[in-house]
Amino acid sequence: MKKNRLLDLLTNNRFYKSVFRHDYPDNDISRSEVVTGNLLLHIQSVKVHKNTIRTGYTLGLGLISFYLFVILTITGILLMFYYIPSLERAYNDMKDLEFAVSYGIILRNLHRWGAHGMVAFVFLHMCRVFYTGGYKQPREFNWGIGVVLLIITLFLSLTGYLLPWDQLAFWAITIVAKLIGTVPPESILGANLSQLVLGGTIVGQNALIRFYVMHVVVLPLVAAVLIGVHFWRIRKDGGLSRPAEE
Amino acid sequence: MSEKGVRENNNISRRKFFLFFGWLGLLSSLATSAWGAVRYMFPNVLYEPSTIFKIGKPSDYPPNSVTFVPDQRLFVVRGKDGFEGIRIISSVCTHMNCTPKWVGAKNQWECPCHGSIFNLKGEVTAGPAPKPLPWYKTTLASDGRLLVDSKDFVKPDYQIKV
Repeated sequence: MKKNRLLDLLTNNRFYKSVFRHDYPDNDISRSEVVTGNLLLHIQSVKVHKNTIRTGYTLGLGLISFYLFVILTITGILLMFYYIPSLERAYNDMKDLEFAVSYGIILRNLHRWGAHGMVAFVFLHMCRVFYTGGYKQPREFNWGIGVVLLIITLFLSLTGYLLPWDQLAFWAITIVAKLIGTVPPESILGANLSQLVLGGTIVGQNALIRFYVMHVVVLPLVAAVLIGVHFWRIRKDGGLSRPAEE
Repeated sequence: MSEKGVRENNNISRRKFFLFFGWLGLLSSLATSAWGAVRYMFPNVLYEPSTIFKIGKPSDYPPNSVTFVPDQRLFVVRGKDGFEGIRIISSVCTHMNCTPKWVGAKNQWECPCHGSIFNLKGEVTAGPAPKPLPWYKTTLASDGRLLVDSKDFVKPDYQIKV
């Protein structure tokens, strides 16, 4: 096959080879090296079963959840440049993002709708795995990780809900705090758990900063690590679940 | 070339056509997103102190004196250098934004950070400062206090007569 001259100029040089560690993928060996020699792609196997790429079977729900996680990370980091988790600033910063900062409203709404979408798609993904029997041996462990990831997603959703510091947020967390406080035995476990979550007895500054730290550091970090393990286990457990040979 | 879908007169196959517009769409959406993110980083509203502000009344500053006003980072110069009135000079060093100190014995400002020295006109007489200290345009507000505009620079002979 005749190589494009521009392509040859771009790929047949020292810089390209130092970055990609393989030749331009125009033969089977370098095509497989694209996958094995790349940090982001090596999580996939070089070759997959034909039925694996049947989109109608998985509907791509897991990948959609992951894409939403990426979108939420990017927009979340950008929102952090303007949002300050203090009782005086939080609500006003949120309003500034909507009305005063260029493209702030797009980023905030991407984050908001992305968050709703992630809860929905993680749930739908779980349903799909259940109905296709994807949780069965040898994938029991990955099902377990998935359940933890669902719970982390819900916690991310909950902790993010307080941050705008409006009436909706305040009363939602007031209710949740009370709910946590009813974990039996109430006087020993419930009371201490609610104190731990709020950093006090009311939904105030301590609660806001705790929810913020959980939302932007702790939970995303745990989620990212578990997502990595989740993906790795898909491959180790025999690839995406797929219909049996026909 | 005898591939199917290749037109007679131009060699653009269906696959190449979709590849081109696919990449065009992807790259232009990435480029506009990147532009939006950069523009987002420049706020349209700032919550900073006004650059036009009031300091004390002229009578608060005794004749033939230099008074440091730390909050607004300026010196009130009354008298000195052959002038009668009040003149306002910046206390922000033009080198690295440190605060030069008024040394009355030598009639000059000395910056502690890198040793720049400014004379009574605000001119640099020693050290690395690239520009003289600016004098601020000042007016008398209706309540009798001095109104300083720290963005409006004036010549050293601009003064408020008392």
